[in-house]
Amino acid sequence: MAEGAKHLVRIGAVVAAMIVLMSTPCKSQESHIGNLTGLAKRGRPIYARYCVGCHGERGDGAGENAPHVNPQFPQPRDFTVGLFKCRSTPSGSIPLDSDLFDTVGRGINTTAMPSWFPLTRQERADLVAYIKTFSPRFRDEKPDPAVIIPPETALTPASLERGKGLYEANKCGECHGKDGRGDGPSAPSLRDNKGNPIPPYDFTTGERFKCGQTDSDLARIFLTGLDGTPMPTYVDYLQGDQIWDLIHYLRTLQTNHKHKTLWARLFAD
Amino acid sequence: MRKTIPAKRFRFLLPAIALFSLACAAQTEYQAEAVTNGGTIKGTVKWSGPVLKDLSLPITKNPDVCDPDKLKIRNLQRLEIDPNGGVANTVVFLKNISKGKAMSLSPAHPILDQKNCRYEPHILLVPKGGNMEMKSSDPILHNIHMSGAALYNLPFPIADKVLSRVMRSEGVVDLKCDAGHVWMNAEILVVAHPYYAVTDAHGNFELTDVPAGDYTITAWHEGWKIDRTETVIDVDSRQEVHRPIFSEPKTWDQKATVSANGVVKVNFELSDK
Repeated sequence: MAEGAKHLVRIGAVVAAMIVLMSTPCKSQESHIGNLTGLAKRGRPIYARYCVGCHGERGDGAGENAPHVNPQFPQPRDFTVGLFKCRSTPSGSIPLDSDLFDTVGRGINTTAMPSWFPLTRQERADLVAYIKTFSPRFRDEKPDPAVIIPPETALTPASLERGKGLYEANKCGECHGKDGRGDGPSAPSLRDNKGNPIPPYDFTTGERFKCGQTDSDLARIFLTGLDGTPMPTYVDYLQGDQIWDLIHYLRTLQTNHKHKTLWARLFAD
Repeated sequence: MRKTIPAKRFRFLLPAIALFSLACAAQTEYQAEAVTNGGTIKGTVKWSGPVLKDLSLPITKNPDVCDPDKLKIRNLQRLEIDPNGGVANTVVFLKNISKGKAMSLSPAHPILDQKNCRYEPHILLVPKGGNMEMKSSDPILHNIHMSGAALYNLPFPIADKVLSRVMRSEGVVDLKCDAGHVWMNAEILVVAHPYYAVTDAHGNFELTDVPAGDYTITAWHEGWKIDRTETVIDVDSRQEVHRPIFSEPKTWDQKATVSANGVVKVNFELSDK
């Protein structure tokens, strides 16, 4: 081989090696939910079909429909920041893949985010892999282990009484109001991480929360907080049975709460 | 005999591998080692320019706790300048130092307090990977909502309970309180080496046990101008209140040569430009 051609081959090899080396460390191109593996390259067209309208091509929440979302309510999530409300991981940690997967399937109550349950599990897993590519947090950080929800305790009058005491001691009413109507003194001043108004949850309006619907979902919200919103983590304040005391009490504020609904069964998959 | 491929033949791949490792470990970890005959860098940070206007916000919430002196306003001026021009709360540090004394920031385990609806201290250094402890002396609800290099959101409904969190990433962390106290703000710097100091009330700083060598020394001051405000409605007064969003921090660089056991004086002049 001529010396010039050899040189070209070498340069080609260097470029190829650089491309291979620089593209391999990105684990965030995949998602793992149970035994499902999602791939970003398969998620991309699904995102372009269903998500881009609100969340935008760059995943920054500035899609063409975003200006039409009711300004009194949370706006489409900016994925580039890597902050997510619904997680099983502690405050400040990135979510697990399964947390994002659950959010896509569940939708977010009281916001414009619908449930994407009609998509197949594989499609949702692929979407999760693609959503993760928008934020460097998924490349640079590892999620903390999921919080541990203690076993449920019995619903008793004493537990309700303790729960009421905890609601007061932890000053939940400061935002959520004395009777859980979302009308506490701080409520009107609340903003999310993008500076948009975010009303605190009104327990009297329904039985679904932003991040689920079951008692365990509510327990998880206390322990993790909703990152990107003013709702902080109460993991340092609620120990063992106290979580369930508070849940028992809060459920009495939800006048139309029904236990173990069809919705909960649907999500048992 | 088996023919072996000499490693030399793949030498041409070295630049690619080197570039890759550089990209992976953009910043090498700081290495602690014994420093003997280290030098000292000290000096003063001074303000040069016109005196700034007062910056304050009305205290619109929990005045019994937030405003015991009945001032009705909270001073938000981030440039604290003494009569001689010394600027407090400036962080002075050595840039790109890779080896030196073991991490020791005083105080070793700082507690950030929320007192009379104010963060104390206003500027806090925390070692990377270290525990940061926080409490509230106030009997009302506060939360420490971090953004930047840490993203914790922690409530303080019960006075004097100490919470603790590991600060994993190097960088600046902004603090705010969502519980209606829109004037509360503070900055934490999570730092990877101990050659950092916060200037005192007169603008003085000192860095000790610096290994002999040439350094870039940087003064960092949080932004002191209000970039924009978030308007919210205060529920008690039914009036609009504004949460100030401050401008980006500013930095100034200087060169310093430290000799064994030597003392180098470095002074900084801060201005609006």
